[in-house]
Amino acid sequence: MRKYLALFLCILTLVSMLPVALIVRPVKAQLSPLYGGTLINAVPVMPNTFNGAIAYDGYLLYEEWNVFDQLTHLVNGTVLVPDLAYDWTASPDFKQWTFQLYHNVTWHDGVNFTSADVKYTIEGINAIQGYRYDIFQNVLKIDTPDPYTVTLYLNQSNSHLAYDLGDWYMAPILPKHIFEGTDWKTNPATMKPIGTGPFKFSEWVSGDHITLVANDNYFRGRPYLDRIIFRYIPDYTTAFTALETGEIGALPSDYIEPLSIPQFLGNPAISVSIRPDIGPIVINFNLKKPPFDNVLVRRAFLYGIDRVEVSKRAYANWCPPSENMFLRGSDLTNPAVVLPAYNQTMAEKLLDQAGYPRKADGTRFSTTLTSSSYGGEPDAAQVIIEQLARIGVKVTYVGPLDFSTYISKVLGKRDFDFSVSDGNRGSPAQEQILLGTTGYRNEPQYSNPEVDKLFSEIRSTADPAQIRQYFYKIQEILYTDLPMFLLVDYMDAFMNRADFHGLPWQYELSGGRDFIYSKVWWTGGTPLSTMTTTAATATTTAVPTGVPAEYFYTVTIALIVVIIAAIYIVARNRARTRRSS
Amino acid sequence: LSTLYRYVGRRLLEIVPLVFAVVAINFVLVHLAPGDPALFLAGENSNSEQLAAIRHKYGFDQPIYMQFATYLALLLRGDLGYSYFQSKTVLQLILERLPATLLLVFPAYTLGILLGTLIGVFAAKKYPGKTDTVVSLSSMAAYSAPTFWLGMLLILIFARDLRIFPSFGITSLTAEKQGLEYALDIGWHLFLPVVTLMAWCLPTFVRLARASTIEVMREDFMLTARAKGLSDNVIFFKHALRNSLLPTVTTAGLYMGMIFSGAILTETVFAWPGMDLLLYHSIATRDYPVMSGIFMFTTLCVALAMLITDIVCALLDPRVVLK
Repeated sequence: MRKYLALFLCILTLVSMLPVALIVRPVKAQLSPLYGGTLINAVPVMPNTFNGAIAYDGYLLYEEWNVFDQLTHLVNGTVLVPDLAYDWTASPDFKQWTFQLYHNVTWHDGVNFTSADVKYTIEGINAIQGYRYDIFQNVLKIDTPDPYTVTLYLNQSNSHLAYDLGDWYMAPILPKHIFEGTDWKTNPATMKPIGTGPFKFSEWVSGDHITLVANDNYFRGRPYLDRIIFRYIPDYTTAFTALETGEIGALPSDYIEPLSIPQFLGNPAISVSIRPDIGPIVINFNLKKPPFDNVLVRRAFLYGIDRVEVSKRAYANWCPPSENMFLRGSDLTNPAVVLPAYNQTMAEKLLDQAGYPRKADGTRFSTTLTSSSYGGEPDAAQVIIEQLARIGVKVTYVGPLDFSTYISKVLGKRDFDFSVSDGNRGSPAQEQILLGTTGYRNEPQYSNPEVDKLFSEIRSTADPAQIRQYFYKIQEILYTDLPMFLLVDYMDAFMNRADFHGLPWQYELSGGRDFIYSKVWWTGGTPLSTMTTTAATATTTAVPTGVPAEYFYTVTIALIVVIIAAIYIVARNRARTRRSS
Repeated sequence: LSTLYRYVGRRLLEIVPLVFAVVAINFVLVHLAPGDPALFLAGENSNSEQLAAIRHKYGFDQPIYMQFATYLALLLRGDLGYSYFQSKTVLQLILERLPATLLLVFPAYTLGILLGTLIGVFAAKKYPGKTDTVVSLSSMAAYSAPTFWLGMLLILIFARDLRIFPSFGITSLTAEKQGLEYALDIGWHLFLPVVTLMAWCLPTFVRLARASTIEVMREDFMLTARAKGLSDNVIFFKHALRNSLLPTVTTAGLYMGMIFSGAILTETVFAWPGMDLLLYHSIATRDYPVMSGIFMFTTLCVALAMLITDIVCALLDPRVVLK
């Protein structure tokens, strides 16, 4: 009898521990990353080479960021953190910049990384007018006083140099010992790179995939994943299906337009991350062509285009309507410059004033609207055309155009009336490219000496308060001149299988290093021996919160069943013993 | 036989001006299309100086006839050129991607023609009747279905819902496979794209074989054959089929070229790493040398296929005379 009682108590103890195990497990899973596993990440376009310094390659970003490093790194477009350089200083006139490099960095072939590599890369880019020549062309001279110090001498002040070097356009540092004395274009390392980054190049199957493997000697510590495979899938529907079936693990924002987000919500196997983009959707006017040379017409469009309706119908409410002349939520946005709400009467009044009254057929004038095929712009254009018809403006749509056609039409031939467009405006420097007189992405052909002067003043100071003051003033002038206005604040949607954590777009888990997969880990991985202690600590300090209610119900029912079963077994055995005796 | 040799020689010579014409037309068309490769080479952050430098470096600033002359001079030396973007020659790129395309196109093409002809002949044999009507209608429906739509539908049904086939690619990348296992893996990935591409060419051959067989069955010599007292099967297979297959052979030759260009949609939908996906990418980035190279390759394929078709036709039909 005593034996059965002991057995019963044992079972009861074990069962009572079950809820603890269940409670601790999910919490532990979040706290301790595991090592191992392969992530297949879809990319819509394959890169051309693995040497981003030769020429621009918009789709090398994912692959390149994980194999190479740059001097600094701009997190989430705003915060500057170290990359290969742990510290940097500038002279008071911002013409001389000194970078201190990490000492323990090695190239993937084992050679030490030094300041000579930095000097070689910048000089090499200038020699071939390669990618990021726009930044490096101002470098007059490079000094390398010791292997871990680099000094750049510029021919003009640039208070933003450290930011320019760290933004996500990527300025990779190349290995001098591999490239020296060779033609970059034909050097084998252009296709089979040797970098300093968290992952090493393993394989490139043309038109199919690129495989990277973990760099055990990465100076910031080994990445969690064993491999990442960048898999080329050009068709969006196929990529979505592959994510649903689990054939791929992650889908970057290039694939997902806001209108298609709702179909993925509510699938527990897929995690959706929505992040604000630094390139809002805007309306640009061709200031050199009537009727948009008249500010009254431009202002009438500001009143006559309902941004709320555009956000609702073209972006399924995922991209909020813009309210200011700069990015939502940025500390550089002037809160005093507020875009007016939709007002049809006001729009009509302004058009009357501008000398475009309604004609007998009810229309005022005809014009064209041009857009590229990206960012939901064709959908937005359709909504805008309907809205402008209400105020008597007949609009013909030109598009959707692919990137190259759009740029050569709008920026090359200046053959457009007004456009739905985008463009990165994360900083005053980028705004200058879009609206400065000599800015090469200046679609409206806007030119205001006062604005240009303010932009150059921003370039020669590093004081945030002063920069903000100048930039606030620029936004006020822009609102008066109205060469363009913001339509909606674009949001990027990223998706991944829920069993992968710490993807670059999950900022709170990855540290916000765009495109870098070193913090990604898989729930099916294993803890390394060095990780066991950390995991154990995590377990004991874990707070049992947020555990789903069904765990408790399941455990309670299991407990009751076990108790009944135990009582039954004990009772039956007792009866048997009695009978036999 | 010497007639045949002379004929082949002459036809091969004829290919030369044909290819030249196609190269010229392609070159003009490709350069007339809006867009500028310099933009892709310089990138978003480029200024007009940089663009000018790149245009000069690659010769985009020269008049189009000079660019054509340069291209032609290279071509005569057997050099298809160098990709603007990828660090490889055009020939290297094409040869790298050709095997995957052949792997997809060859089974789809042969199965499409064989099955299509068999079904068509079968329907003709049952003509007029319910079976024939069903075959005719369904082949018409299949003929009208767009390739990309069919491909997506197959992916949604067989990959997403039933999970029996993979939705894209040529191999699974998560596990390393060797030997037979590797071959089976490719076959498993090949199934849906082949069905999609086959569905594109099969209905044509069904309709063609059916129509021409029915037509031949009405000819006078068929009546003669019957009058001779030949059995139905002998009449059908020996007399009718041999005559009715001539249009099929001719069309098969034409399709040889079309299937290379037709695979572009299938390769895109299934992310199949073939030559057509390379073409798609080079069009998007205005990589002129790669575009022209693939177009020329396709032209050569069509020209050669037409030659082979003519010879096969002559062998099949004694009435065709090679001159």
